[in-house]
Amino acid sequence: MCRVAVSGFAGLLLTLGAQMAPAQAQMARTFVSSVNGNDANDCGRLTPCRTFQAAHDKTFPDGEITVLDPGGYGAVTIGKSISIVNDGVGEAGVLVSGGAVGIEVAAANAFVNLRGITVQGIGFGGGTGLRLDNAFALTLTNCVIRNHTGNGIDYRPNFGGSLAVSNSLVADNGGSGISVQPFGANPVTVTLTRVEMYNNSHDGFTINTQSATGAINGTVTDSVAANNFQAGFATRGASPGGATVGAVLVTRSVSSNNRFGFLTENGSAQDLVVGESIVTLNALGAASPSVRTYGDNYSYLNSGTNDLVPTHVFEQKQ
Amino acid sequence: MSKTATSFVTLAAAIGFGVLPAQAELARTFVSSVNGNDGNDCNRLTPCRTFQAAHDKTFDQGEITVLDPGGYGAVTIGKSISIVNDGVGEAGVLVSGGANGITIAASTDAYVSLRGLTIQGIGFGGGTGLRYERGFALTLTNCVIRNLTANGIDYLPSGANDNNLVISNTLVADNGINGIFVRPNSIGRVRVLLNRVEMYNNTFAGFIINEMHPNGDARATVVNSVAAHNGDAGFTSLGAGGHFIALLRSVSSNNKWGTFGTGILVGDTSVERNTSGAAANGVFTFGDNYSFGNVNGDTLAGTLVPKQ
Repeated sequence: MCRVAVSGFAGLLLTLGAQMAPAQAQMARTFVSSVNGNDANDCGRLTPCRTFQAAHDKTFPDGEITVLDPGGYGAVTIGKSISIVNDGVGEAGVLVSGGAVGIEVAAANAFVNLRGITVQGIGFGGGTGLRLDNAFALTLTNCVIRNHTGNGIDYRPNFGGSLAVSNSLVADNGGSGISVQPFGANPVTVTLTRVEMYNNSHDGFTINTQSATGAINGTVTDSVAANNFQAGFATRGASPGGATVGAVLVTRSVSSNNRFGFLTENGSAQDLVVGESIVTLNALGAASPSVRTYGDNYSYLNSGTNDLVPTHVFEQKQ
Repeated sequence: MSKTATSFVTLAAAIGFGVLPAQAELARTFVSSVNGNDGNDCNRLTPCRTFQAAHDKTFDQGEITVLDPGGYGAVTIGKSISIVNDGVGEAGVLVSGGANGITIAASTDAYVSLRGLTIQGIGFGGGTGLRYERGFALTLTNCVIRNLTANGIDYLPSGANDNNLVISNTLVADNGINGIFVRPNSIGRVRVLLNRVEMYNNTFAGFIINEMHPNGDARATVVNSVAAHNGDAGFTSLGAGGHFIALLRSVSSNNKWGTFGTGILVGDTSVERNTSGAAANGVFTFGDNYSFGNVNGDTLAGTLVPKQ
């Protein structure tokens, strides 16, 4: 996929056409305010909207929503290339209840960027923090996603794509912190940098291959999964094709105080490769025997099957 | 513990609760030191003045959002809640008169999350920064807890349930006893994770675990953190029950001891210029620590553990 060819020019034509067509004007940059925002406004700087959804609907594809002040901005379904930016004005929050989804991304070929957003579950039937069904690329930075009864991030693209999460906290969720479960044959790539995953009732980070026949590759660096009820990092589920469908490389990271450090569930179609990471104090063991290691991990004080045992496959540094 | 299972119980309780009290509760409340008033309902345009008023008017599982810089007073937390200051300026709590800045005494399935708070002791009888008595999971991020006459964080769960403590990107300094004191008296498991925590100039230990219960089990993983200029050890692990500290990729320098006690695993860590020595007792070491300039010896004597 070439971003310039598709999103740029196609998007340009689309937006120029859209500008003339609808009764309601759209803008390249819209604003939201919880002080004087009103969804009947046009979302301009001095006439901001109240909710993310209204601003989204009045923003051109490839446009941007700027948060003006702290407050709650409501759930949003994203259907286009867009960025939502809170660059330090205070909390820009989304509350989730009633089995709903805080931020839903369903936007074919889109680039979606979320910055500085807090998505919090409040009980009352619970729900999911962020769910992606379709997008070319989703990037989250400086976000907090916590206290949902389902998964914090439920990444389940139907047509492949990439997910990047950095400098974010995903904690206290009833499912997994970050769940990656793609569908179909298109490849998926996931990158986590400086992500903290704590106190989730299932895994901190999990990839489930059971619905995918395409490659699923992940890279995790400088991240921490701790106090999760199941594994810190896990790959689960066989591929329908029966073959290995990619690998997850975890480096310079921490998996501690979970039930398992690194788990490749029986029949998992994925490799889990670990280097220069800390694996301590997990209740039922450091890792499954099929986890691969560079031999430079700090693994000790795990209960049960202790440590990265010699049956593990060693990778060679170059 | 399964969050999903307990949430439905909470749901029933919350829905029932919503009907009962005369005073309405909100899922998200706001505090402002500019135009806050505790007689308000704590909504966006009618914020409350203090954390305690906002807490009392927030549903279980809800959130308090800080609107502007200021002091918001001591608070006792009795439910699942998050208090969030995401960069509006200092959201402070001053402590004196032997009191606690933040007390957590919630149900044993409560998740409490505190972000961007500054708790500061101001003398006048002093006190404790944060006291945790009961709950399930407490997560602190981007906080500063300093200048208390007692402990910065006093973590003393006593029930039979498990307790999780996470502290990230936080400064705990200048306190009169310990920086962070984990002292459970509980048969439940206590799991602690410190990531990017700095503990400076505390009169006793920077970080200490003392498992009081003979059948208890308290374990901490400390990464990317620094304990320096403390009057006793940087990191201490002891007690009647199980107690472990895994200290990786961190620093313990210019304290009395680098580490003190037993059950301490040290790797890729700098242990420098401690006045009584690098380690008071045997440790587990990965053999790749930077132990240097400790007055009574740099040896990290103990069990050598291979990397895997």
